[in-house]
Amino acid sequence: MKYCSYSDRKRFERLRKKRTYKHKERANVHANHLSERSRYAQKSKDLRERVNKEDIKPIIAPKVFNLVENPNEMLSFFSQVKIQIKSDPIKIVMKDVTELSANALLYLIAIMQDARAKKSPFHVGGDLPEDPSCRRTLQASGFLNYVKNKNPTLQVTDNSILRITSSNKHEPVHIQRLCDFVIEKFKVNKIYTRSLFNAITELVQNTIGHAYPQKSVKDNWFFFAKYNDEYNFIDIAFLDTGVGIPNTVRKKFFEIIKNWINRDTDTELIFSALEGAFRTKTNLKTRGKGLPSVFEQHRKKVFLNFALLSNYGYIFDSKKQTLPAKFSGTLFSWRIQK
Amino acid sequence: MSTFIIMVAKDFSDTPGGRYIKDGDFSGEQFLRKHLEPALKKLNIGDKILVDLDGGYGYGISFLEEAFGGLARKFTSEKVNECLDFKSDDEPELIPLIREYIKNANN
Repeated sequence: MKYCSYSDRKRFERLRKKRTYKHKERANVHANHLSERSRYAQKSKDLRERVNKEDIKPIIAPKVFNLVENPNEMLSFFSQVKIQIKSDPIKIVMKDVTELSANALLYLIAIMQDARAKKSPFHVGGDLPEDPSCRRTLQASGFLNYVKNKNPTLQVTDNSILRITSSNKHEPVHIQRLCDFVIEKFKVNKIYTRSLFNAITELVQNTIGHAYPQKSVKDNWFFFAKYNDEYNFIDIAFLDTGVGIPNTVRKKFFEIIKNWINRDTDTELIFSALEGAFRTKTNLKTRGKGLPSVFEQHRKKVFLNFALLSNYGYIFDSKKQTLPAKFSGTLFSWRIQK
Repeated sequence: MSTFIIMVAKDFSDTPGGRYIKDGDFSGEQFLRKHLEPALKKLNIGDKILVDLDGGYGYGISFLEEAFGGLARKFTSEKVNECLDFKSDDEPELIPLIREYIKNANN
């Protein structure tokens, strides 16, 4: 028998304990993973059965399906979607929609991607609006690329629409496509679209830099553009579903308390960030210039009908309002006119 | 005394991106490492670098700050200001903005 000192024996004991603990921990993780998988499989099966039995919860979409023009009704609709998506198969009834804006479609895609990221099975179905113009916008927007579309003929092409673009990286080629769209519709040169390129570049940068501290969703940002040939303008919507501007700006101590008690402060925080108050959490003088540079384009009347929704804050053409429900993320919307 | 010309749209990209390389394509950090830093290192006394900003789609503030502010952080604001000249006929307001980023690079 080999000699083994007291300290060696203690050391071996400690190692054995550590190994057993690690083994148990690994077994626990494996068991959790298996139970999670079986729960997911069971929930998916239940969901499929309910869909086959047509036991689907209908949720009626507001007639004005536009977050900027009808924020209160739209947010209560989305709150309902967010709650029901967790437990029931749902159908979004859009047949009575008379006005449809892609900003709401972007948010709907983001909600579905968020549900997917949470690895919880869900089912969202829907119908098309009866109104021909709304129907065409939905079919040409590219929205159907983000859902399981069984009928490829539903998708149409419309030259006045730049399909929904999304990513989780800063890919300038997408922004270039938007600028080329404006150049083609307005018959202008590259210099004309510089303010647009700069603004979208900043919004994408903000999204990548601040909006998603932990979340892992497929797409961090989305944009969409639609040209109106009758009045020669282009509506642009940009969305990120991150933590929202009020959570990413630097707050003073009393503002943290006030913000915690009262959600009204969200609008004030957003407005001061837009106006260029020193709000960057980096504490560097050269940072925090992105949002003011975008708002500056509204001041110069380059971006018209400027609207911003973020958490409880809502700004439309420099008018401020507090939203009745939380908008999870930040939506920018504006119009450019030749 | 000679002048080296860097045409951003032609030599780098006509669609410059965001701040850091990890953020995506054609970032300010990439431009700094690939063009500005090597050019400034090679410079002899009295030589200058002319950065031509024309011809592209535009520049985000983050790109400009990281590229030129970043250069001033690596060298000094004085050296960068002394060695760099800019041309921006498409968007003349970019030049004072960049000078400000160079000046405040370490603040």
